[in-house]
Amino acid sequence: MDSFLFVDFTRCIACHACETACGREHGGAGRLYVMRFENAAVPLACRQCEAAPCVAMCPEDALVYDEGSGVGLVVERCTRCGLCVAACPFGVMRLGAGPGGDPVRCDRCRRRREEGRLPVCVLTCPTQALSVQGRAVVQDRRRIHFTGLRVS
Amino acid sequence: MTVPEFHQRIHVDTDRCLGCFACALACPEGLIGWEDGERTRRFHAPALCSGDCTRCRDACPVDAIHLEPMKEPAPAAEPLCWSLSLALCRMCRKPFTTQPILALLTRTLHHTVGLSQGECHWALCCPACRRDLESRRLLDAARWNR
Repeated sequence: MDSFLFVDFTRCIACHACETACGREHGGAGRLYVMRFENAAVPLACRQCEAAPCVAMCPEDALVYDEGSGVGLVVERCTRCGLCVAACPFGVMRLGAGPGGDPVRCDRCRRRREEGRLPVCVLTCPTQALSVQGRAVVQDRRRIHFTGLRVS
Repeated sequence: MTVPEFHQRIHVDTDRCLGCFACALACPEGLIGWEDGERTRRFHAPALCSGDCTRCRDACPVDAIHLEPMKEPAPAAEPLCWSLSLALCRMCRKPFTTQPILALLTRTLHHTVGLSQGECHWALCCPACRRDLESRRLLDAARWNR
């Protein structure tokens, strides 16, 4: 199943529906960040970096990179130290609300994915700015980023 | 049933401490706390704690906590207190992490991810400003590709 989130931000109308749907699905605030500018909007979410700084910084190996599905979190290993939050080049990782909140970032609705369903943000987006694509498609658009990282 | 009472003395290597709060979140009794000031993050912890729990030590990413078991009840001791400098965002000037964490990030990016210092100027910015930088860059790229 295709599992990489592709964002065509030129279609985004900044309605924040993806953020709302994400928050409802996972509880708490959404894991997408719709950035608004004067005449454009850019939804940001985890980019599944190949050489991910969050994975490199994690002292407990709780964050792992998998070729097929990107960055994943092994909750049992996480100590909630917050080093991954400091490491994310795109600022799309945060610690969950309340004491002892786990790191929160887009996992492309892992639970729904395992059931063969689409992520809620993709279902909700009224302008089809969000879609899930295969690794190859997203990779075609991959470029060495201004952060210097290969990202999806 | 009587519970045997253990005491242990907490030692914190403040030179090693990164200023994350894994220990504070791990302590089941919530004995370790921290506050962020304008320029510093100040931690406080008791000098002694009861029980044979080692969760704070196990959670510490840099092994800065040493627990010394005490055989006899120890006299009361001054609580521990240590502070670390906060790193200010290069763009908005708000504190977003501690200096030791920022130094560790720079080293990790260099050694593990393979980024030189010139390639990771974003590391000096807070998450909100990193999102801003990234979205502006994407918009610029789209203008060029149009």
